[in-house]
Amino acid sequence: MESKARRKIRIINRAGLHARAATLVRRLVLDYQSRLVLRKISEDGSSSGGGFETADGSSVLDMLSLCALQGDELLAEAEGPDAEELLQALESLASRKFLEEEFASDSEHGSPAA
Amino acid sequence: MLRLQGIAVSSGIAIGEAMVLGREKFDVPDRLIDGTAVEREIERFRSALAKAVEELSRQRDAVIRELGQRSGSIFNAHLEILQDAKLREDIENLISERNYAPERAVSRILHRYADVFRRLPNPNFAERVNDVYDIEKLLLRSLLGQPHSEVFQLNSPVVVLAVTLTPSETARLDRRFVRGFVTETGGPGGHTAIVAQGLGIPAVVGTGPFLGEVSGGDTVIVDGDRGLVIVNPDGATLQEYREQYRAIEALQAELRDIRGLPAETLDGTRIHLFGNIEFPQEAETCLEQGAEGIGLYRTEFLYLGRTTLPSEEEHYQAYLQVIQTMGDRPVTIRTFDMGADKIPQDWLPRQMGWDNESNPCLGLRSIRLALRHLPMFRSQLRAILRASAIGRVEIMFPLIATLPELRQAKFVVADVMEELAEAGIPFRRETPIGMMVEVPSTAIMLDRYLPEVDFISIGTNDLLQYTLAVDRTNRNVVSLYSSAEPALIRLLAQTIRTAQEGGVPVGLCGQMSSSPIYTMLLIGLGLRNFSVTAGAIPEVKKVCRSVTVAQCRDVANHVMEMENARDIRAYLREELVKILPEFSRLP
Repeated sequence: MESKARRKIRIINRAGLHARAATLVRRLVLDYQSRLVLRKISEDGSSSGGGFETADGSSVLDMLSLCALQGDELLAEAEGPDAEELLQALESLASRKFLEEEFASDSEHGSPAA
Repeated sequence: MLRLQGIAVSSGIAIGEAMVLGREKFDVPDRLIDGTAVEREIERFRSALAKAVEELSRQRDAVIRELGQRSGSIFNAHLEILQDAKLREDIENLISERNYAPERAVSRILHRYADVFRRLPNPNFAERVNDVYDIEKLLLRSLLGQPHSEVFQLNSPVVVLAVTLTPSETARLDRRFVRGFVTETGGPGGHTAIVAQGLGIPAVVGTGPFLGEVSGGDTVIVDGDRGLVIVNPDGATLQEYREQYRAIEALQAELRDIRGLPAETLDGTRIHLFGNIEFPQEAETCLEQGAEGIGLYRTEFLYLGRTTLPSEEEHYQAYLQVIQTMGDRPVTIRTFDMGADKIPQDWLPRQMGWDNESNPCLGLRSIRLALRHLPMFRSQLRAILRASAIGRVEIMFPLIATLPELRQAKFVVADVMEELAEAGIPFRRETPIGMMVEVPSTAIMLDRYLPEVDFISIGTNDLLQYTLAVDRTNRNVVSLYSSAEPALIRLLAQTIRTAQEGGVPVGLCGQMSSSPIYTMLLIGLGLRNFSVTAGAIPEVKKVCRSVTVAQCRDVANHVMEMENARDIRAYLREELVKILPEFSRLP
């Protein structure tokens, strides 16, 4: 069944929607049948400056050029048979800070948890 | 003479002739193709793209082999972008709809992205413009078949100066001849920093623009400790740096010479040095540096950056690789040590309430999470135990804070052993089981734990964090975070003494053990087993071989009388330099 879904996603990790994060989003999108479009929104609901305003969730370059930083909100729109599930997974990924913080803190501080 | 202050990212001194890496120029034919040739040109583009992907993968694998996983991972974003379906479509559309030649289409599309990136307000994102140019170059080189530029064919030692170094440029440099790196842009976590550290050569980044004032062949000094770059130094400066360089060389030669010798103090007390590793490939380096085993094998890499749990087999292979490298030397594998905030949601049932972690350091992490998610924990333990049949494996639990946790974890191990025995799968029943002491509660109650463990290893990083209530990633309070903190040292002294009285081997695997500044203090406190990063083994060994235990005890006794971290650190540094003046460059 084709369906459309949309949801606001907040970027909470320090590095923003950076290369590795965008890579994970792309891999996620490839796992689903639905298409994903990300749209940058600012506080007042309008589009904020700097970079593209919409990005294809299957393109790392596109997502990077959104320049989505910590604290930014994105409007995620999915269309396809598993649109809702895709957005749920995306939200979870964003709330897990794109699994990236661990990498970053490891490399900056040498031994992470010894 | 031109002096520039940049950011020091890889320590040491390099003196050599400048080699300025310019941006490669390609002649992009400004031509249109014949309408009938569209299919053929698209085919040509696709095969060039495939070739570029192949080339880049090969470069990445070579870098991983030579410099390790961390350096290799800088290529992943490139590979991901090269395989971007939208990028390919955009380029192919220009070829098919507007009859652009593939070269021109590649340039046009990538420049469009570059223009957007360059204008981005955030420097981390704007820096990506270099990746875009790098990808353009890769594709054009693949399309035009141009030979590698001559600057990459070196035959004499140079200091490489560049605006920025892209990963593929770095991979193509002949590393035998590169003495140092300087880049105008970049920060501590950038490509140059990672590669330079991997190679162990001095590097300075973020100097700001200066390449216009340098010609190839100029003499350049790179001071990778102070972040200084000096172009065409005057006689006195050059002299001064040559002396420092010789002193460093002499020390390094000495460190190389003692590689095969034991870490024995002047009065004959044997100190044991083990390696800390994060990735399996690093075991090799530990062995080269003379490690007696692996004292801490972190297993988090198996879980990171992926959306599914690693299988038992993946665990097993990763352990096997290290065990085989280490031969009959012991390998201590630490079980899962991550927070609930770090792992994908799907792994854990929602009802655990872990998604409300407002304070992850004090939350559901490490052994606590393992004990709450037994299937995940058991599959790791099965893999470790299977590996115990092949080599000298030891199991170590992280973040034990209460006795019941230790008992529970040991119970799970016993249960997994039964399972393996029933299935007839070989393992070593006497596999030593130990724990990290990294929570103050465990240090305080240590005597009660000792009868139930085969060894302990003190994790000073977390122990310090929990003792002082300081988050070391928080800039506002990080100044409180020092291994020279007297409260930590007192806790260490107690822990080491209690373990020795209980007859249980005690090691230390935090960052503190890797810094030669603390070696005398730790020996003085009674520590005999150090687990350190591979690169630190020679320096720590050098200290061990230059002191007596009595000397170290005096130092430790003096420190126990002191009251603040700054004074203690300054004192330890002073004592070390008294014995080993060549260590005076240590920060």
